[in-house]
Amino acid sequence: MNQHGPKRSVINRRSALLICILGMLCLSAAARSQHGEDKKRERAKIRQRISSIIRETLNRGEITTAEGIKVIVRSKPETKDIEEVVSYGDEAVVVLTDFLKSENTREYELTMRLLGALGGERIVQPLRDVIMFDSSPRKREYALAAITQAPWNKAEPIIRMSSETDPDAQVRRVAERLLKGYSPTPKSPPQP
Amino acid sequence: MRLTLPRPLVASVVVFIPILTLGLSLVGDRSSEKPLRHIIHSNSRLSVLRQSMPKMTWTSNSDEIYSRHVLAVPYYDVSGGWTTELMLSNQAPVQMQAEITLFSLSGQKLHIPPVTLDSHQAEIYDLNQWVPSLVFQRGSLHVSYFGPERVLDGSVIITRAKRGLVFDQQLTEPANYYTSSQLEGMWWLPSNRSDVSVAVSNFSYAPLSVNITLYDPQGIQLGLAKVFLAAHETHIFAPNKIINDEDKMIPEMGGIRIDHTGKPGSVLSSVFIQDPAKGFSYIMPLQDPRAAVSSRLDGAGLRIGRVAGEELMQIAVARNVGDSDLVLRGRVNYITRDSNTGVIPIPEVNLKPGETSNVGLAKVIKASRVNDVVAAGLEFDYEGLPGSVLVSALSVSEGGNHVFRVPLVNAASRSNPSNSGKYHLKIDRDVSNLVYLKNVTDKPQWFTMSIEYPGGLYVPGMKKIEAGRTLIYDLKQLRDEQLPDEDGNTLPRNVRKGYLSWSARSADDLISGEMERGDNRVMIGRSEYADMVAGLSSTSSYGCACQPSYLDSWIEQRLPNGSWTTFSQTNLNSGETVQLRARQMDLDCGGSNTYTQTLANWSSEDEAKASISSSGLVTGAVLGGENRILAFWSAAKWLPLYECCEFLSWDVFLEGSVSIKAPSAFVPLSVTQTDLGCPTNPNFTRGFGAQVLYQVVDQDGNPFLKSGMTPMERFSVNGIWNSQTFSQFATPPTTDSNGRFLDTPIGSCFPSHPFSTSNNCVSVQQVFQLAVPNTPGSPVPIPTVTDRRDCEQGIRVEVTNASVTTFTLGTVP
Repeated sequence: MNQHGPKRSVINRRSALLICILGMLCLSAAARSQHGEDKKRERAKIRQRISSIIRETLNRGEITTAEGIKVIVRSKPETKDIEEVVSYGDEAVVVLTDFLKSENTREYELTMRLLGALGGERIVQPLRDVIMFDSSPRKREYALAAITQAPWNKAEPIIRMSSETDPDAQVRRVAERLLKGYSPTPKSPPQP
Repeated sequence: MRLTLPRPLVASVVVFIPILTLGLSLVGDRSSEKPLRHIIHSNSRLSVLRQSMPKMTWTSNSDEIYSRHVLAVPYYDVSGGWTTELMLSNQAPVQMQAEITLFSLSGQKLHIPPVTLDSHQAEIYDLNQWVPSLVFQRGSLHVSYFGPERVLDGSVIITRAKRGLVFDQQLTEPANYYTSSQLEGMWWLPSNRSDVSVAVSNFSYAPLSVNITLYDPQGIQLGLAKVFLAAHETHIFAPNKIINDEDKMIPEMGGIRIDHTGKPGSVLSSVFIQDPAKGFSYIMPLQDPRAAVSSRLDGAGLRIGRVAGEELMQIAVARNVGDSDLVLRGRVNYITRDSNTGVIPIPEVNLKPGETSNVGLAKVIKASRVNDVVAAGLEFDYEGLPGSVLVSALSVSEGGNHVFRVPLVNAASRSNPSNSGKYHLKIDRDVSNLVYLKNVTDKPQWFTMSIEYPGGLYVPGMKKIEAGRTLIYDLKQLRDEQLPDEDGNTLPRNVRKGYLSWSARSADDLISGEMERGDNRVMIGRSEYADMVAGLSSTSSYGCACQPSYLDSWIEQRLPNGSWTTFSQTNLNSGETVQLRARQMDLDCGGSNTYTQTLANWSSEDEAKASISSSGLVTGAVLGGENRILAFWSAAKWLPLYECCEFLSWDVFLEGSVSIKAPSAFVPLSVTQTDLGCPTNPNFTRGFGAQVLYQVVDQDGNPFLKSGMTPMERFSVNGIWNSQTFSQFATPPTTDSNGRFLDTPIGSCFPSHPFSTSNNCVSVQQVFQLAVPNTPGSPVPIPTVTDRRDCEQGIRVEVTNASVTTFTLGTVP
């Protein structure tokens, strides 16, 4: 008995260690799962808020005059709304990318304006997709304007490509105008 | 020769015929004979670069500042393996001539041919070349010159290089700074093998008698000797020869007092201590205690740490030369390599009259465990009559070969150069040539610094030094680390020598017409030269008698390429900036010095047109037009009258103008039809879409070529406003590089059906603001108003500025 004692003790210790490791892995997975849930909840909340801002902004543009004429005028986001969207950071980009798919001109124009306010490299990909693949020339035109708010070194190749390859002449003209007007350091003419 | 006119008359002449701006030209003839021997700074007249300013001249034709000055040291020695070198430095911006006289021990006179020093030139002369016979191998030395006080200075350095022995004596003008016929000193011996000698020299042309009294550490008289000195005679003696008990050894430390029958300043004396076996040598000059004006002593540059692989031990010995008991308080003020600062207090030392005591400096420094000290200063104060305490301090290596003396001076006294320094520095292998500056007050002080080097000027500019702090400047470090000066310039990598000049400024509590006081002497400095291989070091402290005097000032603006030009008027767009700086030119005994006056106050006449920061950065604001920029500060003029300097407050007031181009209107360039994108689902709507290309223009109607501005609008539909606040509306939301932006789409959508002939309309009015980035006052209201008539089948756009521009597209009823 005495001879088996130490061996059994080692086995017991190994089992305990294994249980501990398994327990820690479970806890870690649970924590990750919890974190993922939290993130989902947070994104849902942001989606709700941004939807609300877009809806309210568009509603403000639908008015009835004192003479009883119903009219839809443009409605730009208020500064406080822009600030709120900007405060959501990258999460807002994810949400707004979905709104870019809208066929409603007022909705996607507003979405692009909010993306422009967010700025940064993060807005390049969703706007690039519109510029390159969307079938609406008008939508591509507005996406070109919005992408100027991204870092110029990221935006410039996309605008340039559009100026050269977009099937719509008006879109190409808009792209050329943006290239000329929004380049931070106008290129000097080539040296002989 | 001193002027004896009534002081008010002199003052008024000096004030109203400003001597500091007299147009005396620089002395033209520089072809004077070469010095007899020239060791360093050959052809070292360094040209000062003037910075596109009127050429200034240094001069005075005033008898108050031109007089005959006689400087002296009590002893030189070129006998038996000793060499003596005389180093003369001309601080003046003009050529100066010096007359050197050697006096033998018995007082025989030897005139040396006059030597001429160019502006800011230093020369070293080997006395051996001038000594014609054994008679003149030892004695005293005088240097005289005619000119302003302190512009010619120098040192006499006695060395025995083979043994690593050096005694450095700075030339002093005892007749000018000594006020009594009493001299006090002391000694401290590193071992019982040390030799002590005392040199006593009659500086005057009349014979006199001298009483020499030695005291033990407790202040008990050890011996007394009476010596008669003929004119210019020098007496050398070993103290143990006059100890009453001939068998008694001279104690480790003690005091020496000299009373003479001559006028104040007639006798000079120094104690020379050496241990040739170790290479230890140290000099303690005797001082006139009555010349002190405050009960404080300061020393700049106490070495702490290691040198040449040996640990340094710090020694400070104090002696009470007053008549009553007193308590000496001291502290070491230091800064470490990583810029930590601190104070190591030195335990109080009680001193009875005549008592000499070691204050235990090494022990407290070691106990503090402070490491990596780059600069340290010593401070002592006591309650008692000024001059009641003498303190001598040094750092000595374990082997005794490296000795770094720290002169402790009463900064408030005129007998020591304060508030300025002029040092020749060199970079050489195995040589340490440092400059120490110390603030001797309990509040921050400001000083300026510049370094001339062959072919250029390096201007660290105006600097702040904290209370009690000691700063260290190393030409080699400034060069090797390529530290930029205030203009961003660095010292060329091939620079081997330079002439460093610094000046402090303090006119606290003075009003115009008052003389400088002791408490206006706020900084001390010295240069330390050390040959780390030979174990030879010396210290010198040269400066001007008066603080720098204001001469001129102007404003400069930075150009896009980084250079600076004089500013009087400039154009600026809203949101753009221009950096200004106030420049001040001062004049002191060394000539003119130009630097950026960082204490200038800046002000803008109209902040809505341009704002200015405390550092002089002007930013064009939202309103256009002319705007004045003001810079003002208090400067000081110092008039070198009598034995001191008279203060004259001088208010500097400078101005320049900035013409601001600001965005003032939106001008429509074109209106074209575009797709309004009216929704057709769930209900069909239609409208006439257009886009307006606007140009932002300035107050003169010229295009305002700035990108990144954000136009903002409010609008009303049939008189009802959409919002209380302005929102961005342009597409893209900011202006392009031409200051243009597109308002697209404009128009209104009306419920209708595709085949309707209706043409409903609404009236829309747009009012604007413009946000200009980084611009004070932004966003700015834009008075442009755009009135629209939005219809189902057309649109009319009327843009109102000074005139109305109308565009009509489609059918507008």
